[in-house]
Amino acid sequence: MRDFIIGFLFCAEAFFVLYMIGYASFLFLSVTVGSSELYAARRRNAFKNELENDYYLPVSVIVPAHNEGVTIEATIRSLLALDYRLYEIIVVDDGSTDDTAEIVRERFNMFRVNRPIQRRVPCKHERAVYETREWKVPVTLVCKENGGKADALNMGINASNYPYFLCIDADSVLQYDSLDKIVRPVLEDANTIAVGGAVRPCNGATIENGRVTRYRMPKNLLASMQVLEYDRSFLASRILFDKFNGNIIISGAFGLFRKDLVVAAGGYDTDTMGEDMELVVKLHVFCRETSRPYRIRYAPDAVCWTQVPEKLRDLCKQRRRWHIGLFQSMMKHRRILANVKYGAVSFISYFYFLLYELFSPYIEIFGLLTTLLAFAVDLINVPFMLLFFGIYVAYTAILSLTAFLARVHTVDLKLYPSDMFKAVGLCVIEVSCLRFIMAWVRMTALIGYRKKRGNWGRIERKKIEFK
Amino acid sequence: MGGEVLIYGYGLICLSMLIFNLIYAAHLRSDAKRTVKRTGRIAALAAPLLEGGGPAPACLERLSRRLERAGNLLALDEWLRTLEPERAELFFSRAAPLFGRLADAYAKRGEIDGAYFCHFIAGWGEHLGPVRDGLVPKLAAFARRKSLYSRVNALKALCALGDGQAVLDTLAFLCDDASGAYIHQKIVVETLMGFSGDYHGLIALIWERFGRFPAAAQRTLLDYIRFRSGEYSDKMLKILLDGGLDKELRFAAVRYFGRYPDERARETLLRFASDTDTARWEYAAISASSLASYPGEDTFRALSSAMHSPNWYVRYNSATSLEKLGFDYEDLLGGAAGSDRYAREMLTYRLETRRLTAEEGKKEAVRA
Repeated sequence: MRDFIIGFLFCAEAFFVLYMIGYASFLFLSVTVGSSELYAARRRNAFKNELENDYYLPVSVIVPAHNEGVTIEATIRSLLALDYRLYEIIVVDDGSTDDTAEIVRERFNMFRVNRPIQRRVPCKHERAVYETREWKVPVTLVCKENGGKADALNMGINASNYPYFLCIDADSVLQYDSLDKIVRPVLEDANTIAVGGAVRPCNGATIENGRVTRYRMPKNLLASMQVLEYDRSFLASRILFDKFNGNIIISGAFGLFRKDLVVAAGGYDTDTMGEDMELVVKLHVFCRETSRPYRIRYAPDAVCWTQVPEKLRDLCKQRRRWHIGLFQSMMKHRRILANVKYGAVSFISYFYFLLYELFSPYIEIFGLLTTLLAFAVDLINVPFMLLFFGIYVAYTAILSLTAFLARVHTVDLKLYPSDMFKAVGLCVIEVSCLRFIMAWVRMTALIGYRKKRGNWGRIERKKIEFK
Repeated sequence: MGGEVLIYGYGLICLSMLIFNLIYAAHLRSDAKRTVKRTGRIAALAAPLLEGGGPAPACLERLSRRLERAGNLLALDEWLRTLEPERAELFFSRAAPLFGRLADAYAKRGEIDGAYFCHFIAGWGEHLGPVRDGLVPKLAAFARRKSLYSRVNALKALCALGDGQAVLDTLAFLCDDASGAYIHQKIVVETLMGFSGDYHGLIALIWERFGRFPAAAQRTLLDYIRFRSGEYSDKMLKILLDGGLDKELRFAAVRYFGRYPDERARETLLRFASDTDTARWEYAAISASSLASYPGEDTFRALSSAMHSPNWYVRYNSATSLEKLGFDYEDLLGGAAGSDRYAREMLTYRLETRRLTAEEGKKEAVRA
């Protein structure tokens, strides 16, 4: 028996060494490539290597909303403050039970119209359509039967008039230049069919007329840790994936899409919780299956400010939902795995998300159990184990801080010494505590997930201070 | 053991990046002050050019050497913007010979610096006087570089210098699929709109070389002509009537006649709008839009009939044109369109939209 355990632990050790080297290499590459790219982009902008004229692509901005009465007004006001000329705003109220629709109608002086909506992608029926011409761009409110976020987005696509659409969460606000920045990759390359923007937590930010006037680490520690996490994800890894057209996620909070292709691919999948990821994977599949040249890009300078949960319960809910979405998208498109037809999307992106995102909570818990087993049979070197854990924490903390500091290369953000100290302290806690809590949440996410289909996943909102 | 070394190596590199970012952050804090100082230094070198009878060769030489760095050229741009237009004009009349030399220097530098040089010329090209001719071939070379920004900025610079021949040569290269270069049609149209020379001459050149461009570029050039001038109806009519041409070109002609009404196009537009062949719905939809500029009973009949089209866009554009032409929707709803659900829905919606717009107009008037 002991020989079997020794053999098992030897195999487990080999697996974990390879797993950790793979993860460390990915983090290293994403942070170094991301940071260097941001530095290069800043230099390019300083020397006017950018498309800064009035090249306006017509864009329909779609805001799906369900019980967003607290934040919806600020979101629409931020959209009206965008420094862009050719766009329309479409708010889709997905059967809210609060006063979302009333707030939009009253604050923006909307009138009911009998607008015929062309059904290009499937969605539930509209109950009423309201419009206003009082603002600098047309604003439309579509009130529909409850069908979930994907269904609301499909309705937005159907009601939109322009060839590109941008989806934004109703608890988010856009920076004044974000629309201008997010369309640039389309102007740079005609094959660009989708562009993801950077999503940043707005919990510690003061936003005036679409401009960030003050950006500090939030007072809430949980929100601060998420700032570090978002920096690692949005300022680093997505830039790396962008290098080889391998982004398979565009955040539902902020993404631009070419409408005809999304319609041809069937629109958002209403059976999936992670409709944002599912759509992007579907677009990869659709373009590769039809041998269409395409690019899915990431624009780190196009910024959307979003509220991150400040309560652990809300964060767990959010992450559970994300993990279910990840699982559903990856299962639905599992034929991508190890399929040469999909190139780097299969062998790097899909493989990475499978191993280091979808399976990671199970692998981490398995690692913990293996350690306990080794401890029980007295086959563990405790000082070495502590050293190894220390190295892991220090390494990941350094990478988090490198990503955090990469913000100095982005416009409008300043680095405050107090924030720096806070980041140093919190990155250690994030790596050594929060990550394990989240691993547990993600591991248990799939239990009973089928019951949650079409559920918006409520998170407590605060009013966004949009001046 | 190898794994540990790798992790330590990664950690060290990241640590050095972290330190670099910290130093860079500190460097950025004093960025504004440094820019002011640099602008001051360049101004001190450039200002003597505005004094007396003209600059000393040594002064020009010193300035030229300094301006070979993109940061200093940026500072010169800042300084020039603070001058009165006549003073800036005087500067360029005296410093113009420098820019030929600078073009050679920037041709040897990286893509970012080269693109910035083109951006500078695009901004000030109109003031460069006789030195322009020498600059044109050098700028055309920047347009063949790998960087998109080099290509776009060089095209802008050529437009600022107003050399139509060079602009079209560059466009021919950029629009040729074999060149591997790419430039979005919106950028081409906007850039051509900034052409500082005689646009009639440029358009004459476009017509002369039109057939040599690929279809996508031809469409872009037709769009430019549409935005620029309504004086080319004869040429556009030929395109409209030529059934053998690429449909996108004919659509461009349909749009042209929507913007610049011409009775010779009426019959064709009416025919397109009344076409019930679903395969040709794009002709019907675009023509329905253009017919908003052709009031008359025949237009009313064609658009009313198009309101029954199974295609959503044809119905939408027809309703919008009927609205623009001021036809009474209530009459339409009571007539033939009223019996067709789709037509009725669309007309009702457009009627409500007109009311909304009218309401807004009243509010605007009150506010004014």
